[in-house]
Amino acid sequence: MRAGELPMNASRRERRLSRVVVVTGALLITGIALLQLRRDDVSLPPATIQAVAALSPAAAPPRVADRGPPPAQAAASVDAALLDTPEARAYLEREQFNERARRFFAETARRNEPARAREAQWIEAEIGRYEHERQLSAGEAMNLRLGLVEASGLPDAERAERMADIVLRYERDGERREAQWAAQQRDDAAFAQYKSREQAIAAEVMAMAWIPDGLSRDEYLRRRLEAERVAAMR
Amino acid sequence: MLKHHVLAAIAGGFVAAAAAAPARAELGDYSFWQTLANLVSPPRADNPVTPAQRTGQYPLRSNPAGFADGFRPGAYGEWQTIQLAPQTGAVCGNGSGYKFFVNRVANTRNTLVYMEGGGACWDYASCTGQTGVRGARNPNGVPDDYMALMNPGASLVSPFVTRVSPFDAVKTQNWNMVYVPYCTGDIYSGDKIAVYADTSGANPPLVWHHNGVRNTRAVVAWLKDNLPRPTQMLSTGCSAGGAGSLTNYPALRRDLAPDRGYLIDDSGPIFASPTGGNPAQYPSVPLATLIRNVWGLDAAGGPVSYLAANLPGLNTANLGTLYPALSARFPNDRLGHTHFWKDLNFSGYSYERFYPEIANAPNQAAKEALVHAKWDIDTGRLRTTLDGLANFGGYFPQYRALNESHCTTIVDFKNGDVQERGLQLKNFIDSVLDGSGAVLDASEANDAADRAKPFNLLYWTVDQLL
Repeated sequence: MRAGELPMNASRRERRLSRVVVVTGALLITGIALLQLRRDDVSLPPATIQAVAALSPAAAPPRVADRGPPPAQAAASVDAALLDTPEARAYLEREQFNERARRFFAETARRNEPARAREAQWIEAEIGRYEHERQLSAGEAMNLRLGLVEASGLPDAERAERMADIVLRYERDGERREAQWAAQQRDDAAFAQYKSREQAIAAEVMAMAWIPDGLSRDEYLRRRLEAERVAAMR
Repeated sequence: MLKHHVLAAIAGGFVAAAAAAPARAELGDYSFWQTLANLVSPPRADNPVTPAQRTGQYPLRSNPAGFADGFRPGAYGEWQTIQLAPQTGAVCGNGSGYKFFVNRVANTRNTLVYMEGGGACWDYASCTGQTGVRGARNPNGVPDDYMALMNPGASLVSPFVTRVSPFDAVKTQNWNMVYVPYCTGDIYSGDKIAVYADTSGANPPLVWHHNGVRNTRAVVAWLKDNLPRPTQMLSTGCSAGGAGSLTNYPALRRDLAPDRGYLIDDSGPIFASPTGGNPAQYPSVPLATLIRNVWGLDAAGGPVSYLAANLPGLNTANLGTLYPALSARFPNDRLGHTHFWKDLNFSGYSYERFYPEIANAPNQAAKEALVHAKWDIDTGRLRTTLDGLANFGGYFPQYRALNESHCTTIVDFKNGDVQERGLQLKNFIDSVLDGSGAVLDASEANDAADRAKPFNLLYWTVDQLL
């Protein structure tokens, strides 16, 4: 708000801006949907139309078989419904993250410091979110975080310290998860049952003078142990 | 309220940009609207395993009906853990269940298959992961949350398996990603249950499943049964994963049946090693002789005969002939191999335990010089071979101050330059994935320019993990 401006004026301005944004967005989406209708590849299979209808009943088209609207009209409704699904919103958000992160790393040198820091903060928050949602592996997330430090323009010593902190944090988390995995294996009754039999079967097969069914010793051992794993899984 | 509208406008802007772009940016990409439709109605598999593929040598064995593999078709963008049942024949070296990871996208059929690197093993010490011996990754199997877990393999994550890399962009970052973890110590190429004795006598023998071929077959079966056929497919990986990409390419290519196939073997060379060859001329002969035995490669109906059945040009007495055989078998595919001349890791596995003069070298510098000399012979021959193959490029930069110059495509695609020709590694990758005509061949003559580069804080930091 500018100095001396009345709150009421600001609110009115905001509402007007909102209306402009909404109308512009709606026009864009409608225009694009119409443009897309002219392409050959927008006709969706009936199963997809039904799936969308189930997700967004209000926006979905009537069934073609029921009332038979013109195909283009039905497709337009489906397209609008597709944009309005939670899946589409999540997809667009993720695409936006990918795009902004790529642009950030490509253009870091050209940004002024406040803009760079603001964008880096947003990216870091999104890294945390997508890592939590398993959309970024630990390696991806760590690399992105290291990339943010690389792009920070901090002195070498400070960058080195921050990078070391990141690596250490991931290392410790990895050790914790490895320990959990070891514990999980120890507590896995089926695996324990299998391992107890594995040694005995291997020793037995290695000592056999004759291998049944014309199999090689290796193949016979493989089949025996596979059968043992199948049995342990039951 | 205003914030909500601004978000709507951003989405509108994104839609505008997406719609303004070509309907199909790449062969295999879905249109924008089809992408949105896929989000709510994921496309089904259209190239499932056939009855014929379930029989014969190394059949494709699917998960049994009703088995909970963990896959959620609509969970796009997530690293999903896919469990393989014992009935598929898949198993980790220690006998635990095998699993792999899928990160699916809605916008394309194109698929990257990435095989994880991580050494190799061929005896009790190396397969149990004893310290002081070069061994293999994941001796205790693969945790379910492996992709959320920080280990040296993950720290060396390649731009090939990231959606967004701070360092490099490559078109496969928009593709479906399949991360194939490594837990069998056999460069994805073995088929033998080894029983390794503890030479100290302190422990019972180790029963170890060198099950790489069968694991890869089970992954292929699952992909066919659950995802659309890729229009474009890149098979890649570094180190053991690079070698695995190479040896499994014929079967992967045949069964996933993409319209366009690409291969990039990063630092997993299968060097010329003729049976009975002179190690002075063919330094990898001792390693090849050993692994052919302990990994069961030469068993009747085993991995080498399987390879030969799919690759008529393969000389089974010399696995180094894989390169010309693949080139001839898939003349329209674009294939590439890359590694550093100064690689001290794969070379360590290749020679250290087979040449007493290396094992007993008086100091590290002498040891490295001996290793480099043998690696130079093997690399020089491979370079010459690839120079003669139009659709199989070879890219050999000298040195990078990261991970013993092992793997050119990890962390970033930088500093794999061939300065005298003004080339970067990315030029080679682009030549494989987007080029036409012969795939780029390039080799760097010496490492002076590489070693003269300034200190790289990122590489140094990542190296601390190793």
